[in-house]
Amino acid sequence: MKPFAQQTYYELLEVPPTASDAEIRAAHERLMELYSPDSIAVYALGDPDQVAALRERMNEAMEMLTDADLRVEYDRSIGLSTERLSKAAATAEAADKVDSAARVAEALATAAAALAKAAGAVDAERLEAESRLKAAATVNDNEGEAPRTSGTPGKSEERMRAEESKRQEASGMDAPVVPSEPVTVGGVAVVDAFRASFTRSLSFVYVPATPLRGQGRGAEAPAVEAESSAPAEPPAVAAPPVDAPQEAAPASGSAPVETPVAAEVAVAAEATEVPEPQPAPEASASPAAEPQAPETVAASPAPEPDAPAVTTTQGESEPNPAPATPALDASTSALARIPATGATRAAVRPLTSRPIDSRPAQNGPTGPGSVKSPTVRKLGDAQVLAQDSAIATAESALAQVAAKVRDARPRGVDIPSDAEFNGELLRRVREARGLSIHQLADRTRISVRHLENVEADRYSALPTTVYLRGILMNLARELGLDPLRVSKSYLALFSEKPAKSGR
Amino acid sequence: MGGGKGGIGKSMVSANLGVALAQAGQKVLLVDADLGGANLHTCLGVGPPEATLSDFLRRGKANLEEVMVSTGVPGLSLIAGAQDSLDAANLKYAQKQKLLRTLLTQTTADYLILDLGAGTSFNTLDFFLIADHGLLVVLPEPTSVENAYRFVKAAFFRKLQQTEARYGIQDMVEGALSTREGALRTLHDIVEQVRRKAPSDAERLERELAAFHVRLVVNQARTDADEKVGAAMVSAWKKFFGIDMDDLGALRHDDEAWRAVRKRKPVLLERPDSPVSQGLKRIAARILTLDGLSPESAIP
Repeated sequence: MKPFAQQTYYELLEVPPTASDAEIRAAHERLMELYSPDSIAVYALGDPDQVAALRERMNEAMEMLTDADLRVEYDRSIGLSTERLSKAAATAEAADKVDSAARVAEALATAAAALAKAAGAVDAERLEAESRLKAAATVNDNEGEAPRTSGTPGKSEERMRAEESKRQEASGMDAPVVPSEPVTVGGVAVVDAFRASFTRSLSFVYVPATPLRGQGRGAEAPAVEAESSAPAEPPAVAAPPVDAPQEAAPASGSAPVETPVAAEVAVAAEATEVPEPQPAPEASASPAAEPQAPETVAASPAPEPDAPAVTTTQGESEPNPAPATPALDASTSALARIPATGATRAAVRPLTSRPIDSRPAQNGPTGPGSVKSPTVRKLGDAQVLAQDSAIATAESALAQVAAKVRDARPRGVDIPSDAEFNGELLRRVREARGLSIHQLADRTRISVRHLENVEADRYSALPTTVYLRGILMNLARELGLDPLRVSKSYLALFSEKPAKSGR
Repeated sequence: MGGGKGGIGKSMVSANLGVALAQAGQKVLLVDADLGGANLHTCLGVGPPEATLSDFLRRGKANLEEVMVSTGVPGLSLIAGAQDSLDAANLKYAQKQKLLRTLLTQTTADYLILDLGAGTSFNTLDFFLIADHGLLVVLPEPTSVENAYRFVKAAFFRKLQQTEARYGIQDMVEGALSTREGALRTLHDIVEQVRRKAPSDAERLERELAAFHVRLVVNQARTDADEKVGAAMVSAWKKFFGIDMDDLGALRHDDEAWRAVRKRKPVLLERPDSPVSQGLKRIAARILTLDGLSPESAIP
C-alpha cells in the first residue's frame, strides 16, 4: 500500500483498470462523500489539508479516467495496454454504447493511421471516394436550396441523388469500399463509431475543398450563364456576403482574394435569405472558366479560416433536406480548426474540380441532360488528378487524425488562457460555432433544459457536481474546448457562488 | 476491547460478547482491565466480587483461578476489576508485567476478553497490544471517532516503540509521539526511514506492522448511514496510513441495551431477539470465523 500521493488513479479511486466510466464515476462519488469535509470517518484522521489534497487528486483521477483520450494516454504512461479499451467497449452498457464506442473510435484513430498507411493506395482511393461523396452531398445541399426558389425542391433532390449515385458508379469501385472498414477490434459498435470518426477525420478534405470549389464555381458561373442562362443562379450565389461577415471573424479575415472567397461562401451558404447580386458579377468577372480552371485558381491560396464560415452557415441553414448535412457540419466544426497543411490543399485541388464540374449540370435548370455529358467527362479528369494526389490526401488525413488524437482539441475561438468558463462564455462559443441550443442538445444528448441552465448560470437548477461535470465535459468537447479546463473552471464558479435563483 | 473515549459501551460489548462466545461453547474469561473504573461485574449482574484483580496484583495470589468469579453463564468467568484501593489505576510496571505474563500464559479459557479503560495510557495500550483481535468500539460521533483514531495511532506507535530497538528508530518514534505535527505520520514514513538504514529490517518491520490488526465495532448506530461509518473508517484509515483495519459490524442503538444495564443484566440474556443482541451475535460469529471456528457447529 502506497501513500495516496503515489497511488495510481485506479488505486486512488479503488477501481480495477478495466472499470467502465460509470463505475469510475460511482466510485468517485462514493469517495467524495467519504472524504467530504464533514464526513465523520475522516474527522481527526489527518490534516484537513491532507484530506483536501486527497480529494483534489481523486477529482483529477476521475477527470482523467473518464476522458477517453486522457485515459488512453494515462494508461500508456503507467504501462497498461490498450486491451482495456476493447474490454471496456465490450462491457459497455447499451446506454453508454455510443459514448464509449466513440471513445474507442478515437483511441483507435492512431491505429487507423497505421492501418491506413499499410493499406496505402487502397485507402487513398477510399479517401478520395469518400470525399467525393461528400462533395456530392454538399452539392446536393446546395441544390436542395436553390430549387426552393424555383419551387421544385423535391424533384431536384431526387435528381441529385440519382446523379450522385451515378457519379459514384462512374468513379469506379472505390465507393463501395467505404462501408467495409478494416476495424475489427472492438466489435460492431466500434466499427460504426470508428467509421463516424473516420468520416469526420476525412471531412477536413472537404473543408478546404469548399473554397476551391467556390473558386471554380466562380469561374464556372459565367459558363453556366452562357450555356443556360440560369435564373436560379444569382440568388444562390448572392447569399454569402450576408453570412460571411456575421459568422466567424476568421472568415472575413481570410478574404484577400475577393472573387474566389465570395463565390465560395456562396456555395457554402445554402441558407441564403437575402439575395445580393454583387458576388455573382464578381465571380463571373474572373473569366477563364475552363475545366482546368481549378488548378490555376487554386494557386490563390484557399484561406483555411474559411472553414468555420462553412460550418456556421450550414448550422444555421433551414432544415436541410440532405441527410448528410449533420454529419458534415459536425465534422467540419471539429476539423475546421485544424490548419490545412500544404499537402492537404494540394491534395484537395484536383478533387474540387469534380464538384465544380457537376454543378452546372445540377444548376442549369434548363438543360440538365445536355450538361450531363461534360460532367462525366470532367469527372474522369478529376479522378485522374485526384489519384495523383490521393496519397498526399491520405497522408495528410492521417496526420490530422494522429494530431487530433495526440494533441488537443484545438480552439476555434480566441479565449484568453485565464478565461473563466461561465455560462456566458460557453454561450458565445456556441454561437460562434453557429450552433443552436437544440442542435447542441442533439449532438451532446444533453437536454435543452440543462444546456440553457448551464448557459444562464442557474446553478440551483443544475444537477449535482458529478453529473454537471459530465455535462460540461461533453459540452466542451462538442464546442472544441478543453473539457478539463471548462469543467474545472465552471465547477469552481458553481461551487463558490451562491446559487442564482432565477429560473 | 478499547476505544479511547469513555462511555461508548466497551464494557457492555465486552460483557455481551463474552456471553455470546460462551453460548457458542467457548470457555471465556472476562478481565476487567479498566483499572480505575471497573464495572464489568455490574454489567454481568455479579454483585460486589469477593476477589478482584488487585488481590492478584498486590496480595501475592499466584493464580488467576483464585480471583475468578463465576457469572452464572456456563463457560463464562470473570476477573473483576480493583475496587477501592486509591492507586488501583496506577499499575506499577512490574505488576503490569506480571499480569500480562500471566494472562498470556493462562490456559483455562479459549477466549480472554480484556475490557480496557478509556484513554491512551501505556497501561491500556499494552493490554490492547497483546490481543489477537484488537477490538475498537466507536460511536458514529466525531468525538468518539477522533479518540478512536488517536487510540489506534497511539497503539501503533506503542507497538513500534516495543520493537524499535531492533530497528534503531527510537528517536523517530519519540518524535512522532511527542509532536502532533511530527514529520512522521504514517507507516510509510517510518518504513521508508528504516529502509534507508537497513532494507532487510524494513521488510521485517513492514510484515510486523501489517500484523497489527484493529477491528472496529460501531456502537449505537441510529441510522443506516451510521452503520456504514465503520467501513468508511476502515477505508479512510487504509488510504491515509496504509494499515488495514477490519469492520466487524455495527450495533444498533437500542433502548433494550439501556434497560438491560438498568437491570444489571447482559442484554443478550435479557432480550436475545433485540436488534442489539442480534448484532452482538453477528460480531461473535465473525470472531469465531476469523479464528477458524465454525460458529454454527459450536453452538450446542
